[in-house]
This record gives sequence, C-alpha cells and structure tokens, in this order.
Amino acid sequence: MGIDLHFDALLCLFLAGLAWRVLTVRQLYQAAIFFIAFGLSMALAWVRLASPDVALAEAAIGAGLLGVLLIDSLRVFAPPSSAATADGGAMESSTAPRGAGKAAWSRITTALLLGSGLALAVVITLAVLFMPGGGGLTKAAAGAMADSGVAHPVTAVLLNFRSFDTWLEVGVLLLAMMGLLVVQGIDAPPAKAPATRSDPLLDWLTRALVPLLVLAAGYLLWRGKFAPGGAFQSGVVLGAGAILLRLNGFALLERLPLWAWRGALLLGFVAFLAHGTGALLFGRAFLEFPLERAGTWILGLEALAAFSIAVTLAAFFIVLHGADREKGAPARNPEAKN
Amino acid sequence: MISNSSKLLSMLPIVLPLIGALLCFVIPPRWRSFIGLLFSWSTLAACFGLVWLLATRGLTEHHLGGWEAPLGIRLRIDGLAGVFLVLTGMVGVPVGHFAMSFFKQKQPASRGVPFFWPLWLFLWASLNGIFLSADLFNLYVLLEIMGLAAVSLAILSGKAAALLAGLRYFFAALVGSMLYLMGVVLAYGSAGTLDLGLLGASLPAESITVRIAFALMMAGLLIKTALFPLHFWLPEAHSSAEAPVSAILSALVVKASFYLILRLWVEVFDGSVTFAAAQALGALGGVAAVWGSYQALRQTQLKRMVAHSTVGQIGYLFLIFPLITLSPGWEGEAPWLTSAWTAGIYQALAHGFAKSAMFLAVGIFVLAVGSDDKSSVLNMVGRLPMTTFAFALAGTSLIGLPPSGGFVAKWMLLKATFSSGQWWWAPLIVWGSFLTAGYVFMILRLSFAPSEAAPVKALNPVPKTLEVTALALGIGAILIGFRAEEVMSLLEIASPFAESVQPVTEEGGHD
Amino acid sequence: MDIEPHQLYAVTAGMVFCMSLAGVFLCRHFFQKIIAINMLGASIFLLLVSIGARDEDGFPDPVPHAMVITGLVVAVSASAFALGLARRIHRTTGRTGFSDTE
Repeated sequence: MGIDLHFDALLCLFLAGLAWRVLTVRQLYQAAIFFIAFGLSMALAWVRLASPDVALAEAAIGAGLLGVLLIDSLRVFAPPSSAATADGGAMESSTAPRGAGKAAWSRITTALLLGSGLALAVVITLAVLFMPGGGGLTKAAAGAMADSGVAHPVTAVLLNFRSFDTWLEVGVLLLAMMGLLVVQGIDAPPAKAPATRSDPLLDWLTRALVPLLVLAAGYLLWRGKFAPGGAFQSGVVLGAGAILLRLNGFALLERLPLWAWRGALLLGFVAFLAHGTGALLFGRAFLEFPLERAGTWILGLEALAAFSIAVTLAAFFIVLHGADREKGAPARNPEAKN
Repeated sequence: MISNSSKLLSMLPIVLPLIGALLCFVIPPRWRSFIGLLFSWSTLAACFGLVWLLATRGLTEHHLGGWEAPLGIRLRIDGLAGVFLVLTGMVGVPVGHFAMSFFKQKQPASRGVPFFWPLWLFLWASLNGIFLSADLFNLYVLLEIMGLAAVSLAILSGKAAALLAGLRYFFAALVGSMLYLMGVVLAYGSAGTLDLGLLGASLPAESITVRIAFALMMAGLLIKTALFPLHFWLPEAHSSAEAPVSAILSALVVKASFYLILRLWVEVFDGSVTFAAAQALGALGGVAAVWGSYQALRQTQLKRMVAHSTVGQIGYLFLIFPLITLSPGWEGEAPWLTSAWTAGIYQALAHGFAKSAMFLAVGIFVLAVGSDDKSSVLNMVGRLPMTTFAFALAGTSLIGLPPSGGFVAKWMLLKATFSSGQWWWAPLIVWGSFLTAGYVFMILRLSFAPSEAAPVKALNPVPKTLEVTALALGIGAILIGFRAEEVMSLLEIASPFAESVQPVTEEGGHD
Repeated sequence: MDIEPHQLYAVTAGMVFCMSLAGVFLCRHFFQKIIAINMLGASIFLLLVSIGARDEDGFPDPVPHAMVITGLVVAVSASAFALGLARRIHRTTGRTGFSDTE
C-alpha cells in the first residue's frame, strides 16, 4: 500500500474533479481545455493500471486528436470576438428569458435528472463493488500466444484473436469519413489554396517535428510485435504529422487526385477484407492466419491499416477545418427554410 | 467441424454488402445504383442460401480467425437469425429498386444522393452482422456502424429539419450505445467472457452486478428501439428523411436492436429476468401502442403520421415479454409460450413489410403532389391506384385485419394473452388497432374523395418502378400471413427460446 | 479494509459515468453534449481497464485493453461526425442546441 495507493486516490479525485469541471463550466473554451486535461490524466491512470498500450492510444487519439477537433470547432461555436457570449449553458438550468412556467418545468426536470444521476451513481458503485471476481481471459490469451505470431498480448488480441472487431473498427473510421463527406456535401477535401505560412514558430516546429513523427510512427508500428505499440498508435502519430503539415500551409491530402484519396481511405479496410476472404477461399476460417506466416502478415496488415488510419484521421481534421471557410456559400440557403 | 462452404456462406451476408459498399464508393455515381442492386440481389440470395443450410444441417457456427470463444469471436446462424436475415433482404431489395428510381426522379438532387448506396450497403452489412454475431463487444461495434450509417442516410437530403433530427437521432443512438457498453463491461467483469452462449451458461444470475448490467444494456437498446417513453428522437428523424431511407429506418433498423433485446432476454440473462420487469416492458409496450397510434391520428402531415405509427407498432413488439415469462411459482404446462414467442417475431416481420410499403407509398404521394400535407392524397385512388392499393394493403397489416401478416401476429398475441390469463393486454391491443384503423381509413377516405373536392393539378410524373416496389412490399405484408408454418418451423431450428422455457422464481431467474 | 487500486478507479469510473450521463441531457450546447458523450465513453473505458487490472497472474488481461483501444477509435470517429453535423447545423440555421430559441 503506502504511497502507491495514495497517488491512485489523488489521481481518482483529480479525475472526478476534472470531470465535474468539464461538465459544469460556463465557457466552451474552458470545457474543451478541461477535457483535454482530463484525457491526459486518463493516460496517467492507464499507466497506473499497467496498460501502456491504452495510455499511448488515449494520449494520441483521445486527448490529442479529439482535442484538435474540439479546438477547431471552438472557432465556429465560440469565436474570439464574441467570447462573452460563448456560453455553453452548462449543467445548471439557465435563467434564460423564458416564461415562468417553462423555467419551473426545466428546474424540475433538472432536479429529476440530477437525482436520477445520483441514484444511478449509487447503483453503479454497488455493481462495481459487488462484482463477482473471476477470471478474465488472461490465461486463455497467454495459452494462445505461442500460435499468434506476435509476442505482445494486446497486439495478438487486436490483430489475431479478435481481428474481426479490428476490421470493423477500421470500417467505422471509413464510415465516419463518408458521413462527414455527406454532411459537408463534398466528395473529397476541398482542393483550394490553404492559408499561407505566416507563423515562423509553427513553421520551425513543423520542420522539426514532422520527420520525427514519421520516424516515431514507423517505430511504433514495428514495436507493436513485442511491446506496446501497433497500427492505431502508429497511424495516429502519422496522421498528426499530416495535420501539422496542413496547419502550416502544406496541403498534402488536398493535392491527391480523387482516386488516390479514395484508395488511401479504403486501403486498410480492403486489406483486411482481402485477407479474410482469402482465408475462406483457402479453407480456413474468415480472417484466420496460417500459423507459420502469422507474424509477417500481421505486420503487413498493420502497416496498411496504419496508413489508412493516418489518412482518415487527418482527413477528419481537414474536412472539418475547411468547412466553414467557404465564403461563396450563402449563410442562409434556400433549403434552410424547410 | 464446419465445412468450407458453410464458412463461406455464413460470411456472405456480411461480406457481400461490404464489397458492394466499397465499389459504390469509388465508381462514378451513375453506375452506383446498378452495382448496388447487383449486390443487393446477391446478398438476398446468400441469405436464402444460409436458410437452406439451416434447414438441411441445423445450427451453424463460424469461429472467426480460427479462434473459439471465449478468446475469439463467434458467428452463430440459427432460426431466429435466419428469419431476420431474410426479412432484411426481402425488404432491402425492393427498397433499393425504389431508391434507384426515386433519386433519379427527384430534382433537384441533393449533394448527398451519390452516397446512398455505399451507406445503405454498409448499413445492411451491419444489420446482418448484428443478426449473426454472438459476441457482446462485437455487437457494440456493429451497433455503432449501424448508427453512423443510419444517421448519415437520414441527413442525405441536407435539409435543415433533417439535419437537426439526424443529430438528435445520433445523440440518442450514442447514449444508447454507451449504456449498452457499460452493461457489457459489467457482464465481462462478472463472467470473464463476451460470448453470448458462454455468458448464458456462466453468468452468476443472482449477483446484483449482473442485474444492473442487464438493466443498463436493456436501457441502451430500448432507446435504440424507441420504446415509449424513449421514442422522442424517432418521429422527426424518420419523417424528415427521404422516402426510401424512412422505409429502411422504420422497417429494419429498429428491428436490429429489438433482436438484440430478444437475444439478451432469452439467451444471456434468462437467469436474471423477473416477472415484474417483463410486465413493466409489456406495460410500456401497451402504452406505446395506444399513444403512438393516437399521435399518428392527430398528424396533418403524411410522413409524420407514418413515423408515429412506427412508435405505436413497436409497442406491440414488447408485449411478447410478459407473455414469454412465467409468473413465480407457476406449475404445469404453459402451451402459449411458443405461440407468444412466434407472435412477437411475426409482428416484427409483418411490420417490416407493411411499414416499408407505407413509407414508400407516402413517398410516392409526396413526390407526385409536391406536398407532404394530408390533402395530397385527395382522389389518389383514381390517379395513382397502385400506390393507394399498396397503402391499403400496408394499413391492413398494421391494423391486424385478416388476411395479413399483422393479423396472424395479433391473433396469436391475443390468444396468448387469454390462455396465459394475462387478459389485461387484450384491451390495449384492441384499442391500438382501433386507433390504427382510424388513421389508415382517414387516408383512404381522402384518397377516395370525389374529384370536385380535389384541386385539379397536374401530378409530377411517377415512374412505374416506384409504384411496383411499394405494391410488392404491401403484397409481402399480406402473403406473410399465409406462410406461417414455414416461418415457424424455421424459427424452431436451434431456437434459443426453447431452452429458456421455465418458470421464474420469486427473486427472478429460473429454477 | 484492503482497497485495491483498481477498485478505486472502478468506483471513480462509475461516478464519472453518472456525471456525464446527466451532462449529456442537461448541457444545452451541442459542443458540450459531444464532450459529455466522450466523457461517458472514457468512464466506461476506465472501468474496463480496471477490470483488466485485477491481479491475475501478475500481468493484466489483454482483452479489455484491446476493447478500449477499439472503443477510443470508435469514439473519436463518432465525435468527428457529430462535430461536423453540429457545425453544419450552426452554419445553416445558427442553432447551437436543440431547445434553442435563437
């Protein structure tokens, strides 16, 4: 016990406190920053819970990428010029100029919701504390590691034992991209000239960081075979590099022709699909690896997946970032009248 | 040991639509309908093939990646899965043909239309995956795919109302997924496995954690199935979408989460089910049936009417639960159980055909007249007789008039309520039917109105394909009433229900 | 009472879950709703990993870790889509919430 438990207790209190702040703070900007802080503290918690894979992923995806998307959206929802009105209307019911009856009703519903939230908290605490112990899948996984082709359990689970989930997860990325394209009404990231390079610090940072990020991505990918790392962490780092380039004015993805852009998005998903269908045609189960080649094939699949993940995540940012700058589009479209 | 061809066949309902989706994403838009329909028909054929496999060889399992549960993910094809696979295919193909024609016709085309086929095929793959997968976390990922695809389809038109309704739908879907996932986590913590079958066998049913897990998963899935009072997102989302999308959402997407509720109730948590919970679900269902139908009656716009009708019809689905759960201390035979089970599933099937037919028919009326108001149907029986007939057939099934699938479902349901002694469901069923008849006959009366009452306005041209597909689905809703034996014998193959037929104890769970 | 560290995290996860659930309904702005949903997911992941950290053979259960990584990617994809949709709604109608009067 001793210092370890004290640290964990403090971290838990900190997490809970941060969560409370995120949800109750008035300004959107503050909520976003607290959320990023929460994400980074979660990464600490993952380390404390002996899960460095998850810590890597959380720091990169949960705090990093999501933080970038949120801050970019702040540009739209809480523009600096109207900071005073960037009120998120946080958890307490607001005193907006509505009728007295409506205000009372919303106070009742707020009270009800908070009350049920509290009751639910008690319920879930009970559920957690009284959980019957008993075996996770550690033993099963450990026993199967020899046949998995890799030396790291989490990679084995993701890329071999439960590869169907991983394949579908790459599908979620693809589908979200399609959905974003529908939302924006476009087929590909807008191929117009991005902002010029005006910030010398950003310029220097980009030149220094992007090669390092590419190296780090390659290292994480290779490392996943025997230590924490793998396709997702690698893909996010690579995607971060592309986003950094874009922020600095270098439009990597927008210069791709349509077929290349679509191909890059699809590559990871198609690779898994081809592997799975190939396995079926050769008499194995869907997505089953031949024992002696599992290791190499896993690395190959991970490389292709990491590439697609990088392109997709970078594209999330680029499509969102470029969306509100269309000066040509009128603010009130005829369709808005429906 | 499952044969190679069985493994291939069991993956086709998932893999074929996905390949189609990928192709439709990259090829030029004018080819997408053709390729999409090609893959739709092949997926339907694959589903029939799988059903044939079921009938000849019984339960089939496919261990993905070559790893058996609990470490790997298992696909399980039994009668229940087969029935829903075929339903999705038989509704999906006509709706696809409708969509091809509809989007060509409707001008100006919104920018999202080229994405219809990739998104719909992705959605179809996720639905088939949900029917086949036997792993809780895998089901979560599939539910997320379903939600993303469904919302993207709902906002295809780009209209402000659709966008707002779509975001509300998305938030509801996400909250539902989160509640479901929390339950999954608690279940995994309690039993150390994610496999449905293994969980059913090894979950410590009396544990408070397990009950809470069950409640959380149910809450999440109930939001997705839009059971009253968690239906707040549905009417807007389904009514502001384009006609073929509304049909897909109401007829198929809500059935997937209902399917999961059935699985959990009967296969996984059958040890924690309580009589009170079953009655509560039934009560909510009964209220939904009345409330939804009443709201539908009050609407002045066609699509909103049909969307509220969905809320009502979904209520009927939940009457299955009190009728398949025996009261504590029950002794002796309970012959109504199987027919109650079949009745609930039949209701899902009949509603799938009828609601899609109704949404398509209403979509044709709106396209022809250019307005969503009730008055659009004035004198339609003379001008668009096929469509009016399709609407009438769909309405017949929804009301539960013979001969239709809806009649078979409600008849079996009523019989079960009386033989089980739970007579209190009967008035709700009947009342709901009366209200449904109210709005169906209201529309039909308007459509038969003489021509002086209707403004003599030229209709927009309506391609025959649209009318034929709507009619086909309407006929399907009727025909399914005639083929009850086949469906029932299919359902019995490796039925998860058969094993759980036992009385619940006082505290819940079975002896 | 002997408290395991993973129990501490598990109970914290439950707290954050309930706070976030209330937050999704009570926060009016789309932006904060999206953040609340992400917090919801984060709390579930925390619970999952703390379950995986129950002392089994000295090293943690890899399956919950894999589930969390998958869940993280799904969450960020859903958030990106939700943000895009919310921004589009803001662009076309100026709304920032469902019950707006603006």
